[in-house]
Amino acid sequence: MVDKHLKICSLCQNPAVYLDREREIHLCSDHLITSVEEQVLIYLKKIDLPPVVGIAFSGGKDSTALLKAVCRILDQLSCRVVALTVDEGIERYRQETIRAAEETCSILGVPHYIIRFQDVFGHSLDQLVSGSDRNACTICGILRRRALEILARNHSIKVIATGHNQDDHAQTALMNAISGDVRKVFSGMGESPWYARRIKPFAEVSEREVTLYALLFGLFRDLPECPYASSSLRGEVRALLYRYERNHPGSMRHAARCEEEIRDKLGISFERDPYQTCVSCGWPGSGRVCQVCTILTNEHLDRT
Amino acid sequence: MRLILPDLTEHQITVHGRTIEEILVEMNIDPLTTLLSRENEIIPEDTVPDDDDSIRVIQISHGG
Repeated sequence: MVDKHLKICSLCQNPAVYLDREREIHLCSDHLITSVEEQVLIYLKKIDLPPVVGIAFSGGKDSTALLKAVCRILDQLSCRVVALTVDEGIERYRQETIRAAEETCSILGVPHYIIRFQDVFGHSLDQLVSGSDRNACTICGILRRRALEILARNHSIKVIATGHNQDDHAQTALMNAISGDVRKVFSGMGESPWYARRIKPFAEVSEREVTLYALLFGLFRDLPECPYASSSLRGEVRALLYRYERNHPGSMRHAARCEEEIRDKLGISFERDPYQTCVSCGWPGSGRVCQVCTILTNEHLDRT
Repeated sequence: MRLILPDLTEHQITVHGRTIEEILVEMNIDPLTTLLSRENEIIPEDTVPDDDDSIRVIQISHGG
């Protein structure tokens, strides 16, 4: 007898765990896992991978799912992976997520390297924002990027894979459109001997699929939320895109792909401002003093 | 149906043939920001639950 309260996988007869709203099919746990890993494999097969790929690994659900997925398809790739973690120094939050990251790497047998804000910059994030009105997320993003580059460089890693998913891409695309700053669309393009290449194997995988993937492998932990997380433009854009996706399935994918196509087709001809060399640290940046040094000298970013 | 939200508050709801998605939308919860579990099994949001079911809502994305 058919249980009317149970949805069945469209590809087999097992109970469904996921509704693919755009394709209008249900997937069971096995087919959801296969679907996610196929998307990651297709993405990585298009890239000329070096012998070692670094996975930017916060210990959160996205990077944990990415590490698991890459490990499971590693025999089909010509590389090995290491996990790269940045400890920003956020009291009562980061210790728990770092522990989760260490535990996951131990289970998966992946070498794990950690770098601390305190060691690189002489201050934790808590110390840098304490008693000031500076935006923690802006400061954290700039310093974390530099710390990750230093960690990659210390281990001769030329390619870093991040856990950004399709939803992240769609949100960024819409935020770039709203800000009207075309340079942001093309930022990060082009080779630089200073920076490792960033790749995003979950570019075609939704946040729900990523989360479900982690959940099905018992890797989804109810970790604390960053105490600096606050409502922001991204939060508003996220809510808007989810509403579109619910009413018009595929909207998220279209928004993400639209910007990607613009980058592919116009990226070569777009004239970018050349990098300047920071007079303080020697790293490349957009001004005479790079954003990292601006933060560390306690200047306001908008003065540069 | 007993609905357990991410903040662990519980709501007793009469299903009236509605999907969990429809119920969540009426509660101003976007179903795409959640996953759902029934007796520790994940189920899709277009499932029509039974009045005896206990459904846990798992939040997948945070603000910020």
